[in-house]
Amino acid sequence: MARLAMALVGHQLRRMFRSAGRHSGTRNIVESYRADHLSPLTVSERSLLHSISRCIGCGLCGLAISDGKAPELGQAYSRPLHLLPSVIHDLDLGEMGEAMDLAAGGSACPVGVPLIELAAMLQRLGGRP
Amino acid sequence: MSGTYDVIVIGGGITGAGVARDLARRGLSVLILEKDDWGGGTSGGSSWMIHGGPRYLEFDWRTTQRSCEDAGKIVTAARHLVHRVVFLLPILPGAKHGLEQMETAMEVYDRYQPLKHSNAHARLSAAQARELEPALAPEVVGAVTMEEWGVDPHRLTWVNVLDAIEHGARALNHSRVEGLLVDGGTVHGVRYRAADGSRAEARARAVVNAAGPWSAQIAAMGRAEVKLRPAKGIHIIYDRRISNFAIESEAIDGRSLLCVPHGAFTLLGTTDDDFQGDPDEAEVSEEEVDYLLQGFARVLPDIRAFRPVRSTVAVRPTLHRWRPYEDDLSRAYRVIDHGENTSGGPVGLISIVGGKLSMYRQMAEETSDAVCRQLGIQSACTTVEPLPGNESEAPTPAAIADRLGISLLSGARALSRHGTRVEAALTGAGTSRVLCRCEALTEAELIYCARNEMVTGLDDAFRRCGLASGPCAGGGCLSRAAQVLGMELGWSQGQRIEAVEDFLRRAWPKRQPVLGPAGWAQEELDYARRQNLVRS
Repeated sequence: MARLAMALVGHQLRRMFRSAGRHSGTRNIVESYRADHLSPLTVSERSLLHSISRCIGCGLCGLAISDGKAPELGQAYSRPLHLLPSVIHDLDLGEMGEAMDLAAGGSACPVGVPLIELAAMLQRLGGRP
Repeated sequence: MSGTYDVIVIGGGITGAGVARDLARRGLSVLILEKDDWGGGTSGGSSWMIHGGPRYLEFDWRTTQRSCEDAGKIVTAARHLVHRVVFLLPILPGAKHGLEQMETAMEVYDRYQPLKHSNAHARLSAAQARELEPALAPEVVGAVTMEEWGVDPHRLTWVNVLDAIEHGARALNHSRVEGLLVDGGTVHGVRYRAADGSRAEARARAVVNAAGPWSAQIAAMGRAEVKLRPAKGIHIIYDRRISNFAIESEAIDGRSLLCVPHGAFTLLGTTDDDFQGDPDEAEVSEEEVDYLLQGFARVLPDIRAFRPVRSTVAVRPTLHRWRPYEDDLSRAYRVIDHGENTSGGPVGLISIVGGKLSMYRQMAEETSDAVCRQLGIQSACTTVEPLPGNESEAPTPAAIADRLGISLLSGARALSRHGTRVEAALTGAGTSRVLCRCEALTEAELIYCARNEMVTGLDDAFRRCGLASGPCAGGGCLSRAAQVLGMELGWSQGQRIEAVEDFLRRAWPKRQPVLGPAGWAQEELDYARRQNLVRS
C-alpha cells in the first residue's frame, strides 16, 4: 500500500506538468484494438440491442421475405459483433437489404425486431459501405 | 479397466488437466479421472478470464508480476483460444477509488502488462468513455481502461487433457473416485466408478488430489485433511455482446463486479459468499441475481432491459482463513504433500488447493515438481509449448468457408474452438449441415467431438462445441443433436429422447432464475416445438 501511495504522489506530480496523459483518448483505443474488431457502437445501435434481443428465432421473417438468412440476423449474426468484419459476406446484405423485403420481414415479426435497422447496423460493423 | 500408473490425477478441472498435461509431457504415465466432464465444475463457472491480478497491487506487486508472467505463458500456449478484453473502469462520484487513484494503479499495472502481451491503459473523460459505451450512467465522471485476456475455460481445460492424452496419458471423464487405496499409511491408488457404471481400481506411485471444492472429501478418503473456505460465485449470461468493451462496477457492499463480452455472449458477475454445502448442489437464487443487477445498474442503467439466457454457479476452493470477509480472501494456492505434513498424513498423496484459472499453469508446474521430487524423477516442465490447435498459424474463416463450403460464421466460430485443427473438425463426418443455428454449429463438428473429444452426451457437447448455448437454449437444435449424437454413440430412440429431457432438466435451475419476458416467450415457442405444434 505504501508503494501505491508513493506511485500516487508521482502520478499527481506528473499530472501537474501534463494536462493529458500520453495514453489518453478514444482514438488511441480504437486504433489499438482495430485488429481485434473491438469497435464502439453508436448511440442508436446501442439502443437497438434491446429490441434485437427480443428475437426468438421463430423464422416468420424468413417466410415473409423468402430469404434463409433473415431469421439468423437476430440470433446468429448480431451477437458476435467482433466477428462481423470476418463474416459479413455471408449475409449478402446488398441484395437482402432491399427495404421492401426487410420491411415485410419486420412486419411479420411477432416480437418487433426492427430488421431494417438491424441490417444497417450489421453492415456498418462489418465494414460494408 | 484396472491399471498401474506413475501418477493418478483426481479432478478434471483446469488445475487437474494442467497437472496431467505437465506430468505426461515429463514422460510419466498418467491417469486422470473426472467425475463429470472436463472443466464442468469450478473452471467452467469462472469469469472466463486470464488476468494479471491488478487487485494484488494493493499489497504485493511481486504477485502481480508473477501472475502477469504466467498469464503471458498461457496466452502464448493457447493463442487460438484467447481474445483481448478491454475493460472500461468508470468512475462515479464518491467512488472508493477516484480517477487519480485508479489511473495510478493502472500506471503501475502498465509496467507488467507487456509480460502478458497486453497494452497500456488509457485515461478517458466522461464524454470519451461514453463514446466507447454510449449507455454509461450520466453520473460517470471519467474512466480508465485496462486490458486482460478472455478464454473459454471448457476448451482450455479440454486442450490440456488432449495434450496429456497425446503424450501418453489415459483420461476418463464421468468416472467418479469412490475411495483411495491406502495401505500402511501410504496411498497406492484409487477405486472409481467408470462412465459405464462398472467399478475399477487403479494403482499409482503417487496420487494428486486436484478436485477443487471437492478436495477436502478426497483428502478425507486417505485420512488426510485439506482445509478450505469454499465460496459460491454466480454469473448471469446474456444472449449477446452488450458491448465490445468489458465494464466494471461496484456492488452495494463495495465488491467489484464485471460485465465481460466473450464470443457471442456477455457474462456478468460475480458473487462471493461462504458456502458450506455440497458443491454439486449449489444453486442460483433470485436474490443473488438481483444483487448483481443492482450493483451493475449504477454504471449501466439499462442492464435490466437486456436478455439473460442462463446463469452459472460454481464453488471456489479458497484456502481456509478465519475472520476475513469472503471477498478479502486471497486467491493464493498451496501444494500439500500430505506425507510431509506434521499431522501424519499418508505418503503418496499430494493436494493442490486454492488458486484461480489465471494461475493454473504455474500451479500445475509446482504440483508436478512435487510429484517428481516424491518419485525421484528429474524432468523439466515444458508446458509453455503450444497447446493442441495452436501448433502453427490457423487458416482464416474465409479460407475454411471456401474449402469446406460452409458459412463464414460457422468457420469463424469453429476456428475459435479448434484452431489449426479446424479442418479435421469440420470434414471428417462428410456433412456441412448446420445443426445449431444460433451458434452456427455444424453436425460435422458435433460428430468430430463425439469421435475425438470424449463427448458422450449433450451436456458434454454444450461445453466442447457450444451446442444449445445460444438464446434459444437448444429449443431449435437439441432433438436433432440427440439424433446425430445418438447415431454416433449407438443410442436407442428412447435414449435420444431421454438425453434431450435430461439436458433440459439439468439446465433449467440455471435458466429459470434469470429469464425475462423474451426468455419466457422463447420457452413457449420451444415448448411448442417439442410438442410438435410448430416446425423448427
